[in-house]
Amino acid sequence: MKLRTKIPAVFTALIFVFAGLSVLIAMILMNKQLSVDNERHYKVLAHTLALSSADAIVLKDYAAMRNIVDRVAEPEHMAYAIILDENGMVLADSRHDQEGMILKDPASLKAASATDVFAQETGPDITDVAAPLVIAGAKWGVVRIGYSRSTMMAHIAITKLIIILIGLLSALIGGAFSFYIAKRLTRSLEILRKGTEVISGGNFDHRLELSTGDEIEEVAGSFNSMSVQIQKQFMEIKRSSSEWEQTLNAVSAPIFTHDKDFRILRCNEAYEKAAGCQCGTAVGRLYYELFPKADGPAKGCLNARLMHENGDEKVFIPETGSTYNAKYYLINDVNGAYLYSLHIMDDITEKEKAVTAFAAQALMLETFFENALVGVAIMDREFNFIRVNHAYASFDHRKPSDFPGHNHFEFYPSDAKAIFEQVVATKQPYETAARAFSFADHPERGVTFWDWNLVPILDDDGEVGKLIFTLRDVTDRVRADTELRKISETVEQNPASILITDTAGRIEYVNPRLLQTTGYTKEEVMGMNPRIFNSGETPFEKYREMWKTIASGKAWHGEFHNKKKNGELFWEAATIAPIMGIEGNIKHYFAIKYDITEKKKTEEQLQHAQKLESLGTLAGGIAHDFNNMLNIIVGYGGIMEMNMPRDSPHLPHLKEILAAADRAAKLAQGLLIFSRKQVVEPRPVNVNDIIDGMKKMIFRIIGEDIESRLTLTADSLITLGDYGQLEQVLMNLATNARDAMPDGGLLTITTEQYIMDRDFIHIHGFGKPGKYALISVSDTGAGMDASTREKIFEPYFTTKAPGKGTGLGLSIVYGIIKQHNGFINCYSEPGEGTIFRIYLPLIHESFVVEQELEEASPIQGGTETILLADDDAAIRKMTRELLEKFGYAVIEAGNGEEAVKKFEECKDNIKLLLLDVIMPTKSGKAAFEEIRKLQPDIKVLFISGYTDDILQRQKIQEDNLHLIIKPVKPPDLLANIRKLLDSQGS
Amino acid sequence: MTYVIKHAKWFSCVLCLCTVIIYGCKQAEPPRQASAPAAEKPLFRLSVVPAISITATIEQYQPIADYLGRRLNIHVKLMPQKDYSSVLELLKKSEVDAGIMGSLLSYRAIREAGAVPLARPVINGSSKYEGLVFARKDSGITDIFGLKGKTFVYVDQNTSAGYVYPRYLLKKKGFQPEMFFGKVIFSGKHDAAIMMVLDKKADGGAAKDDVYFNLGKSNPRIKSELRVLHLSEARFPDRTIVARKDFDAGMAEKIKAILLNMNKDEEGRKILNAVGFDGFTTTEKADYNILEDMLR
Repeated sequence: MKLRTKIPAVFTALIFVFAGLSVLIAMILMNKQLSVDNERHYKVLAHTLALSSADAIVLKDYAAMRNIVDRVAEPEHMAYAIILDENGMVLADSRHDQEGMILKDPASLKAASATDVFAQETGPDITDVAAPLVIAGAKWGVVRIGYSRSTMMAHIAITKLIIILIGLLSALIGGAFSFYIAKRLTRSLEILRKGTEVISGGNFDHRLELSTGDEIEEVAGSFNSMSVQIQKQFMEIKRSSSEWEQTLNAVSAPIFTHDKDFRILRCNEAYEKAAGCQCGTAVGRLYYELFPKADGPAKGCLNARLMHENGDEKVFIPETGSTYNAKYYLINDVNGAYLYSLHIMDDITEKEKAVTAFAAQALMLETFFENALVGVAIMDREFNFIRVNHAYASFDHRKPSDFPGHNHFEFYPSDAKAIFEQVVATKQPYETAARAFSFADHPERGVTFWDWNLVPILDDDGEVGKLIFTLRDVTDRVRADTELRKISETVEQNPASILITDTAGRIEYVNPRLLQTTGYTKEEVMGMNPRIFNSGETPFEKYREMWKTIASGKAWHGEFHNKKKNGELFWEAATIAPIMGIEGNIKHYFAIKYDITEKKKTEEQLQHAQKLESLGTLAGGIAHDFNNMLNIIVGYGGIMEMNMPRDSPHLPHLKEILAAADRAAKLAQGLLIFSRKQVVEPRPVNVNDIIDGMKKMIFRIIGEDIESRLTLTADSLITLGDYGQLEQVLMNLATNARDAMPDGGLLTITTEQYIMDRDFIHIHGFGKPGKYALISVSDTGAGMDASTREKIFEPYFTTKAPGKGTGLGLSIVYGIIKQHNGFINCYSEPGEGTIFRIYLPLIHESFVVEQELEEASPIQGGTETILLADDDAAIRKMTRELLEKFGYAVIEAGNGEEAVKKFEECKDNIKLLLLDVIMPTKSGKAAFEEIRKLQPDIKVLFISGYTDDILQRQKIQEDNLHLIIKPVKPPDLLANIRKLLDSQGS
Repeated sequence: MTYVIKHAKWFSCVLCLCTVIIYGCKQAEPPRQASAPAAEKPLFRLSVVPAISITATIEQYQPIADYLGRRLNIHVKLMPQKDYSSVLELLKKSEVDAGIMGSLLSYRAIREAGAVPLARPVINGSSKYEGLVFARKDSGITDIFGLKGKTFVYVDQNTSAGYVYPRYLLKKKGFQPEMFFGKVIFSGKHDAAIMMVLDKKADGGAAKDDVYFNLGKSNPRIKSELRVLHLSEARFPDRTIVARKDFDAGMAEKIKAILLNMNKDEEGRKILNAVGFDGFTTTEKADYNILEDMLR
């Protein structure tokens, strides 16, 4: 049977069978589902009824219950509705014939005892559903409803009929339609069959004409496309063959194929050219005879045949010097049987040369990498070492093989990681100089310094593939720089002046201190010779000696009296030395100089003070001897005067002698004052009072031509001093001023309180911090130059005409002020007048200055025995004679020890001791101490003539003992002795 | 999904089966008869006022009735009534042995029927309740004076909170309760009175405080839509179990003892916990004198 008949028949039969079965199954399922649904529906209804009638059941509201059952049983399909109480008694019945009864039929009993909703078939068509009313676990009654199943089913009988009819109709329509479709489908198939027969006959231009719009048309279309494709491919093969020929000819490498006998099958033009044969003549000839010209097939070619695999081989053609890379391909058929061989001869002459050159370059780079003095590390983008050179490894005393596989920051943790990451991120190289780094595992290396750079190497994707890290240890250089900077700062900031010259003496460097000291600018001194500082004060020999010393390679030390830019002179202590080069020759000279002007000034003042001091000592010594001699002159002179008759012609001569002796004594006194060997009796005195008291006297001294002006401070200026001596000072200064102003002028005396501080002392080179009374005595006289000023306090130095001055006036002033622990200074310039400034230390107490007025008394002698001790025999003799003349008995002793001995012998007679303070073997004071032990109430009078016994004298004064000073006038001695003998106690 | 739809029928069958099985399991314990044969055990008939719905009333008192029955080996028959007065009437006629009733009915039972109060429940720490007056918030009524001339819902003439107290309150404020409201309706139950105001069937209403607040827990509208205008300070004794005058005194004492000790055994505690009671407390006739003034 044909396909066109088979398909509709089968389709129609199948549709009928399926439609019938479907209707049947649907009916059965529908019936079943309906009865289940009905039962469920009525159960729900019964349960709901029980709940809704709960109140009525509980309250036994019969009317309400009857109302409920009547309404429930109303529909046609409902058979009845009954409400039972908990005991099964009918409370309400829709049929109204069983109320008040207890139903005994099995179905009713089962329903009455229901504990849950349940259904039971109570007749052929009736289903009874019972629902108990349970509240809080207690059963209050049961609701029963009965429904007719057939009535329920009758509702759906028409529906069933409709379903059967629909099934039948569907089967009929389906059958007809399938018949029609089958017919249409098979018609196209017939056209398709015929068409394909034509195409398979080789007529690729034939097209199948079908427009069914279904898969058959698609198949026909596919056939048409297929024949077009086949036709195309046929043409393509033809064209391709021609193109391949052209392509092969276009290839510069000689290409050919040969058969198993090595005869050429095909070749390109390049081959023919290399073989040097006519175009198209190569086919059929033995290839090795043509190119490369050889006795037999190439070794690689034979080998490929033998091993049944492709191969290659380098072939060198000596005639042309060319190298070819010959590749041998075996071409097999589909079964693997050998067809022919293909040779491709690639000219690699240039490539070979390049490879050789590249290898040489690589070797060079390798050599450089391994021997470079800088450390080089190659890392991946995660900073893992790939390779490092020897220099890099040696920085950390490692081997290059220690690095690969380790991370840079594992070995060298540092904050540079951020920089490394930045290089990777930005792809920009980074370079840094002298960056500090500390080796965590080698703390002893301290901080090291490195110049390094990090260069990213980009891979083909433009991402950072590798990093080249190059570094150089510059720790030594950095440390040296630091050292150098320190030295440089030391020189620059040095408190000494530093100067460097070249060997010719041209200034190459000066430090700021030098510029500050000299007042020059750097530009002014650079290139100049240091002699610009010469003042001419320093002797030329000194320079010569200096040059000689330093030229011999030694250092010279000395002082210069140099000149600043403004012409001011200053002193410098200098050390000058050559700077030697490595070869031992002198490269430069340098000088280190200190300004010692202040020091010099202080030294000069010290020298001056020392000079005055030694002069004082000398003067004191002279005065002592002088006094002893005057003591004799005055002593005997006095005795003679007392004994000489008033009318004696010798008396005037004697008086002249004594007057001269008196002047001489005053002179000696002045010397003693200057030498500060004079005994002073310091008491608190007000300087203002002294000056005030001297007003008239000063006025008298200076005369009428000179105006005087006194300006005294209101402050009380109490100093510990000797009233008389201070008067002497003022007097001498006034006299001096007068002499300085022969043509008149102004004398000004001022007083003020002055606080002396360290600055003052530093500037003036004398003084002691504290409060002072400052007395300034100035004149408007001729003034004096520096050299005069330096000498004015020296004894016997005078500018006055001979005979006009003693030369001791200012020396006495100096001595007094020094003895008062004060200071005196003189400021003077020629033509500008002179100022003397006197500083006397102030004491804090306010004292009333007492003045004792001694009354003159007539000379009285005595009869008492006096022990006289003096080591000077002449004085002893003179004194004995004086005392005996006035009635005293005298026992003499030549020294202290003898005095003690003599006293022991005649201690009962001796009433007074007259002791020289200084004596050999035992001093006067020591002798007195011993004698006092023998007789505590013994009276004593000490005589002092020599200044060095000052300490002894002080002790005497402290012990409240009596003392008189040589030269002693006889009346003074006698008066003192008498006064002592007449006094009570010692 | 397609699979599920294709096999929906099978799924529904399985679901039905599961439902039946679960339903069956739940029903493992069969219900007892609400009234067992009187011949076997002595019968104790306990009527209850319909303060709340019949079903809710039974759910609350049935477990206690069952407990009493088990403990005394008697049959306790719970008899909810359709209104308050029925309980009093049955008690008077001795058709019930005892009644559970509110304070007013208890007062009347004591006064009119010589009934004896046995015990009353303690709920949330209290055995007394208050009456409150309420209105809808959106009515603009903020105090009881605002209810003048409006529709007011009482619960029942036999309730203290739902009738006696609001009237007493009005009297105290100088009004005549009969003339004060425009219209008066009775809801029969406390919860019904609350719902009527909530549903705008009345402008204001009165009810017990515990009913009001318990209902508020399950119905948030009460809190958000109603406003309490007044809360009494009367302290009405609540839900007293009152025995008829001639009830066996011995049995009455036994019932009283069991109720008072109910919270001392595990079973009793479980039941009390389930119905929301803390326990039972003693009550005396004097406790109901509070109504005397209000009814005067």
